[in-house]
Amino acid sequence: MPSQSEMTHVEVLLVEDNPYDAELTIRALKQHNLANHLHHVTDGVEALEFLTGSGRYSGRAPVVVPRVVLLDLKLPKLDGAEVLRRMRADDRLKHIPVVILTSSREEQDLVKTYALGANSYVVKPVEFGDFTSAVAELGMYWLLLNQPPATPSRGATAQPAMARAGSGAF
Amino acid sequence: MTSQRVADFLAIAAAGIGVMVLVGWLTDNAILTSIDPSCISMKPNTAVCMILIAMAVVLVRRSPVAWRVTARVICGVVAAMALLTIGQYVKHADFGVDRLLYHAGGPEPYTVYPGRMSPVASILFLAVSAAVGAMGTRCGARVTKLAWPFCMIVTTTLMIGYVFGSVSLVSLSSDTPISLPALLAFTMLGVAIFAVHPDRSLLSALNPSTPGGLLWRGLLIPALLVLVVVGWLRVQAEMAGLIDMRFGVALFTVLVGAFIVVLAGRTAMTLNRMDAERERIAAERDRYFSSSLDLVCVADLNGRFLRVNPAWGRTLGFSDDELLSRPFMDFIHPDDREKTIAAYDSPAQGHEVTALENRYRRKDGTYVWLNWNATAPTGPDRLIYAAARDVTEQKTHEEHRRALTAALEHSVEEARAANKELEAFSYSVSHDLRAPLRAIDGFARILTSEHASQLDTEGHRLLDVVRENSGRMGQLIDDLLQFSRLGRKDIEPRTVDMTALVHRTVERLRPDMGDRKIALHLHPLPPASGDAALLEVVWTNLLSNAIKYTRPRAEAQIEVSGEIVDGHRVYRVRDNGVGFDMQYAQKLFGVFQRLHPATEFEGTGVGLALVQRILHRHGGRVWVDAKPDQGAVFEFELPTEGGVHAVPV
Repeated sequence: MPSQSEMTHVEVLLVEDNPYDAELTIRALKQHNLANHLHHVTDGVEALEFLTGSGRYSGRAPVVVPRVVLLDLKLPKLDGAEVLRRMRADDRLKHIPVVILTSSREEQDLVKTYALGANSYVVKPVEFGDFTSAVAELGMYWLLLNQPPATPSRGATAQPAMARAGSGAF
Repeated sequence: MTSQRVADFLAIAAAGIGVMVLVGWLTDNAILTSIDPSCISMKPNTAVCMILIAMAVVLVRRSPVAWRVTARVICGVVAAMALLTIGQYVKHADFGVDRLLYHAGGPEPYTVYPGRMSPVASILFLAVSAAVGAMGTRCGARVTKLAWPFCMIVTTTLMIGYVFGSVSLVSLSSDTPISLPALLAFTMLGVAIFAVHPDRSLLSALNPSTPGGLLWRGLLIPALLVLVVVGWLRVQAEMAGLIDMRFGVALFTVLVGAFIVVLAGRTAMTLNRMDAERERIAAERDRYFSSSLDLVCVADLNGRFLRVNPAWGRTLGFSDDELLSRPFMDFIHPDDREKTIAAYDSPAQGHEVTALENRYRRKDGTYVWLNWNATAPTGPDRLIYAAARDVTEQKTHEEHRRALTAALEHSVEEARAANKELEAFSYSVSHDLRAPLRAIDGFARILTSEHASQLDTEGHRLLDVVRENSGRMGQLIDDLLQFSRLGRKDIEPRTVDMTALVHRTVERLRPDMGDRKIALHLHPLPPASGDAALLEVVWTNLLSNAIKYTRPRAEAQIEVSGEIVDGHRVYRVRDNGVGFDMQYAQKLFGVFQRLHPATEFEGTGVGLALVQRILHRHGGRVWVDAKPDQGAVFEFELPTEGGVHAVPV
């Protein structure tokens, strides 16, 4: 269980059940110094508990929300699409940018998650070089370039933006 | 001419006789007043009454109420006149009515009361005025029915009296006989009254096509005429002293008898002929009924057969008695009774039954399917005439066909479900295969970059082999995904400009050609009907193959052409590449089937399988002709239109 201070400064929430994908993603972000405030959860339920400060994270005060959520679609318990749907239905969470990071090239997944309010859709490339650059580019975009709303729980709506990260992105 | 106009015509003729007599009195012309001056004359008051009653016959049937009222008043006046006259005869009195119009003095022949209407005429006037007065009322037809035979019998009898010159018959034992003009006029009135309310049954009895009419017209009426004529001749001959009474009776009997024998013989022959014809028609109808292969029957509204033809026995195995003894509903399959009743109720409401199908039980307990056509209830007995046809065989075929169709639909559904399952499986496998590949590639890469110092040259080579193979597997998975995705994609056929599509594809493949010397011959192509994106995949694969397999050639030749053959569009890609042995041609279009090692020509072996699948989905096909080292010709064909499979299979 991470310490309380780590919990409050989370900038990236990585929702990924495959430990190797997670490791590669974190490694790619670390290379560009973007993984200092990253928290990794392995299923959809835990992701929602973390964001709302409930269940395993009932001690966490969700004062500062992540700047971006990297969300896999195929997850145990609650899948990525359902996590996204619940986030967008929750007033406290609906402005958090969500990037879908998945193996699926399927048109229907793409259409469905954009309809649910995903901000970006990135297909994980198999080739490591492509994968590293894709993750790095989207990390830089959302953590360094993108300007979040001033008061995340209310106020201006985050503009949906699509990161064209690498050759594998749609 | 309608019977009403006949009535008007005869009434006017009777009035004409009255007018003629009045003119005779005014001009002192005995021929006009009595026709035969040796006989009694028609009196002026009789003539006036005749004109009046004839007017009443015409007026009483006209629509204005005033006319009808006038007619009835006239009837009253005439009846009153007749009653007064009869009163005079009965009371031997003189009420002065005789001299209202008659002023001639002196005795009249045949009567002791000059100027007086005869008693017979008075009685006939009473009858006629009653009939005319009743016309148009509820009992009019009934009074007419009594009045006209009375008129006709009296006038006919008296006419025969005149013919035979019998004074006692003409005067009906009274002192004053009826005159000849009056007799004629009353005959006309009698027929006129009959014409106003014609007796249909009597008229039809006179119809010569019926046996009754034949008897009347062929035998009875001529016999009566013969009797009168021969009787008159006999009287004349006896009176002239040519023959005596005994000879007269003998001659009369012989002549009349001979005539009757001739007439009866003729009539009998005609009747026999009519009967024979009738029997022939009936026999023909019976033959038609009994030899019909359809099941013909007559049924009543109580739900029973009245008559069935032998086809019933042949089809169901029941005897006619068995069929007629029970309501026909007993023979119908319980499941079909309701719809039969519904259809049977519909002719009761005046509708016909057509193409009703139900099952009838046979004696052996099995059922036959019958297809029915039935009339609406017809005739005075409200009978139903129906014909049914045994359609068991068609029904069995139909059911068989339906079962086959259902089975086919079921297996299509199963195939579709299996297909869908397979797609879901390959989708999920393909995705799950990518994650470990990414890990293999990723960690191998990390090993080479971050732990390079700990590896010797062989270690680096082995890691490169690992990475190369994971990359190849990634490509295989991508191709397989595309191939499986094609099974789910709906095809939207549109007109596709194939010439432009080929040019576009060639431009896209330009980087693959590098600085090779390639002669491209792109001929104009007929447009196709299909999915442009999928057809582009076809061209991409065929052209990139051509580019790939001509690589060993110093100058590559690639030719693209196409034409319309028998309504099909045929397209062709010809190259001078390495070709192959035709015995492996069929293998070429299978998934992951390759004829060349990947070290020589890269590729996964999905491309041509994809091409074939796309063309099959379009209702087309692809084939190839090649020789080792002599190049290959790939040809594909697309149907003109409508050949596209609507359902993904």
